[in-house]
Amino acid sequence: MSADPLLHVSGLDVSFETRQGLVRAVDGLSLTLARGEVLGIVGESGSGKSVAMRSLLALAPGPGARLSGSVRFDGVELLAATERELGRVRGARIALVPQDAMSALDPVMRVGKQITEQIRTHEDCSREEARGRALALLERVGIPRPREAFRAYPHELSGGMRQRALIAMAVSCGPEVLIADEPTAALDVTIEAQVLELLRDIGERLGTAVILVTHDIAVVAGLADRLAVMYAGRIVEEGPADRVLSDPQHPYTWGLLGSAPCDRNGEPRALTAIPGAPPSLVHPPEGCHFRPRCSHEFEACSATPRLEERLVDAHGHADRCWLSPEEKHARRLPSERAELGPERTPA
Amino acid sequence: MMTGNGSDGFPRTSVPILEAEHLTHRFRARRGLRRGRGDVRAVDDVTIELREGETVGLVGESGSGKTTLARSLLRLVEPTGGAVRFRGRDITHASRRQLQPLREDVQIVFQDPVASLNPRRRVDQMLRGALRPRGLDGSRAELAARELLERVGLSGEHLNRYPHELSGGERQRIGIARALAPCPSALILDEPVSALDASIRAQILTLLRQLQETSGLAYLFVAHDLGVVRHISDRVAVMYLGKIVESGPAEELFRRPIHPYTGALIASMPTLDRRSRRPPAAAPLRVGGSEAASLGEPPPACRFQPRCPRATDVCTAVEPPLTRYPGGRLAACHHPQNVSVREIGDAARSSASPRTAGSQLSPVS
Amino acid sequence: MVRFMLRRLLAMVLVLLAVSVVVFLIFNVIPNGDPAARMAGKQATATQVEAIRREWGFDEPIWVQYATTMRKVFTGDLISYTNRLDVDEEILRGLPATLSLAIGAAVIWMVLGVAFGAFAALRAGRLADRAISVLALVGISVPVFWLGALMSHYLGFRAGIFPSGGYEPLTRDPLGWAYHLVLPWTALALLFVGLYSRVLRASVLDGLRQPYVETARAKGLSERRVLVGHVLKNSLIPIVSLWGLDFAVVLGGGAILTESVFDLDGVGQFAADAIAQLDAPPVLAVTLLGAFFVVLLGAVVDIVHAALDARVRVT
Repeated sequence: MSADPLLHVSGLDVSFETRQGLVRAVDGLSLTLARGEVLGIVGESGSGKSVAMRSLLALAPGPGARLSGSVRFDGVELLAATERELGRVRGARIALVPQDAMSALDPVMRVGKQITEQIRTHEDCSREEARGRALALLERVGIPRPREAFRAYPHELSGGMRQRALIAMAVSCGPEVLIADEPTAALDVTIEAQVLELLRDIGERLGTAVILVTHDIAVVAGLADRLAVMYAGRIVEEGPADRVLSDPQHPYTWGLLGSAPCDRNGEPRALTAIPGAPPSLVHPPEGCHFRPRCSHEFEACSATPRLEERLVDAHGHADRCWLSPEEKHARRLPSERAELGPERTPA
Repeated sequence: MMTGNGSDGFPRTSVPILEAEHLTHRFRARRGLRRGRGDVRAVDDVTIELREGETVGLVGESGSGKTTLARSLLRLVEPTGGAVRFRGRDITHASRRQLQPLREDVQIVFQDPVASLNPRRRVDQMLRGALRPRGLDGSRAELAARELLERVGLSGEHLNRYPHELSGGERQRIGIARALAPCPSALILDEPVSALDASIRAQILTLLRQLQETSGLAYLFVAHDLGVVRHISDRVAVMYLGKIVESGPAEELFRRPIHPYTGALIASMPTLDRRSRRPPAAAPLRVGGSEAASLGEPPPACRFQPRCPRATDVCTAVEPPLTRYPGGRLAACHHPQNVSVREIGDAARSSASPRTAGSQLSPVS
Repeated sequence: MVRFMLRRLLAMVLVLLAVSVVVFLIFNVIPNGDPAARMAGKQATATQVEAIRREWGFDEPIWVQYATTMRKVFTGDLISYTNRLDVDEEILRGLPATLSLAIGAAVIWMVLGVAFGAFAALRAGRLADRAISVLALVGISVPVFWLGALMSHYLGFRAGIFPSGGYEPLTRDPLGWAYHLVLPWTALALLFVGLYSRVLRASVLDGLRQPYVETARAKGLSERRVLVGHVLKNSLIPIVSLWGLDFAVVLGGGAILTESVFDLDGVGQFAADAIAQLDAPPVLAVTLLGAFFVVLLGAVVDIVHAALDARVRVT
């Protein structure tokens, strides 16, 4: 891990009041992001991943929401920054690609205007210059007729084109961090592949660090350098992507991998579904939040496990499960072990 | 009824539950900024069938017409050409009353079934409504409703819930329970797991499998997620811009796609494999997407040709017929991939081919 | 666009036809509505009444009477039954006052409604928001004739700050024009200020929840630019449509009470007097004029709406 991470989040808590009670959407989230790194964040709906990502821009999920902890970006504490300071970071140095491309664009403003608006907010350039740059961006993200797209209203573009326009907008000021929240959730597979390819290309060519948030672990499997798995507001497992995929340590990660209808080679296989549903974030279970759905629960689980490296040769691979590495190794389904390929011996 | 091999290359052992023959559904395009003009053929000359106890997967991207096809099989949208048959009987022009047996025997499950229902109705009211055609009411209906809930992995306590009190997975289970109420022999599942999270999706797929094993249901499974379709289907049909471009047994089709579009779809599938960091060549489609293509006039002859890396002059001149290859496989392409010269030699034009398709068989690519 | 215009034109014809038939029938069935008796006066003998009836064609079948009246409406020959004045001239005479009242009030209620509504939305749940809510409810509930009478009496007659009634033509004395209209504008606008601030508050609150607002914030725009450039721009679209329709209604006779209270002598007051006299022709003409404005501005609103929001098309 780099000594000077670009983004360093520690102990981030986000909570807000609802009619049902206080929701702890993000609970003690800590992570780091190095320059040029691709971090995949996997979590199901309600895992707090989207709320967490917005906190990285000091955006609260609503009025009255409380953000606490620390988000340090390039030495600046964003949670303590003024609106003016934040305005210089948002969109310029940390950019967000929102999930639903239809509703994330202003329906009554031309697409081109929405891009130039961002450029002209952060940079002192003429209308014409901004227009030229926006057209070049639209072309670079693979929009076939950039001039038409520039003049179009959001509803006149297809879903894939809208998503591309949002990516063009997000990278328009050359950000150092690009947060993509489910950028392909609404897209067809062939377009999804193209959009993911585009994100990879941006990361590689511009040296942008990318955080790719998704509910589908397969989407990030091929793209991420590191993976973090979120469950009920907490990161339950984090590490280099190769290791998390080949030697997952948390039972929830096993479940996620087992829920994919196809294995690593795209072959269909027996599903091992996780029983039950994610807990309410108003009254989450004591201790490990995954406990009620976990078939490996034991006494220790009523206390909250810390996210820490439990393997001897951990290399930054950490998890939040009380089981010892030996027990985990023994309990993972034999079929799964075989399929997950090259096995590494636990400590 | 024909004997021997059916029009789509499968041995006919019995009368299919549902058949579409050269089915076409057009609708008027709305004029305006979208450049669509005149009629749009959402489904264009498609032949398909669903047999007792089997699962047919229908895949395609948005705009491919898969949902319209599924709905016109139930006459939920009116076909504008071709024929629909239910257990051998032509129902293309049947009246509402004549459709009654179909409406009971084949049920449909939507992506979010409860969203299409009255949010003020409790689960038991929904299920009782669905049980009424069987003549059940009062305590017998309550018993049947509980039984239905158990079959889909829920319990009697869910009877008093309102839709908004259910999680996504529970809603889909209720949707399935409702569909099972009239004891159907087939379900049309329209993107049943697309809105669900991975762990819940696996639960629903497992449930569908179990139900099929215990009740012998047939499924027409409409989805854009190839992984899910491959997992659950016996046979798969791939649609592109209103036409079936390839169909065949699921395993064979995914292992050896014949049509370049099927190949591109499979190559685009995200997998858990770290080693196959998708090389650019694996997603060979030209710029744009199915959506971009579906906006304007459909391309002449082969509809996939503008995006196809293998396209040649013949592809813009002659619409490729659906060609039957050994092993019950059909593909509509002049330049098939993954087939041997011998297989091409054994190939024949299928009667499921669109009427506008050329008569000549695909030349050797 | 041509199809849209043709369709609206057809709709207008049908609406005007329906309105005229209904108004005409009402005046034929209400008791004491016999125009011949009213024209003849209280002391008239039965033969005099009979003579008038024959002279004016009131003995003809009802559809003939309708056709005659409608012809007169469009040729400008319509004569009042009570005072025998030319209806068209009377309407033209009252129109400047009515237009002045409607336009001024519409501008006031739009500006204040938007200001209060946006302010309340940004302070949602806090004291200022609740205060505005209460005031808005008061504004909506207070009857215009009561408020107008109070204002006219206390601010006009008693305190003498404003004239207590009357209309001053704009061409003759622009200052006097505005001076005379301040109270009527306020009285008429108050109801709409209340309504508009409520509608805009809801619309802004809804807008603030939209994902594109978050996108705008994530782009680094200042909160003020997010609000003005994105939230308000979207929230104003329904308000603008509403505005056009309300303006049409006020123009078409919706300000009858205000005009009467402040003695503006506009079209509304003319209609009010005619109704009091059960005088069919002026009522018919004013009603048709109102319906005409409503249908016309309805079409204008649709075109403007489509221009503001590209998702909407005029059909």
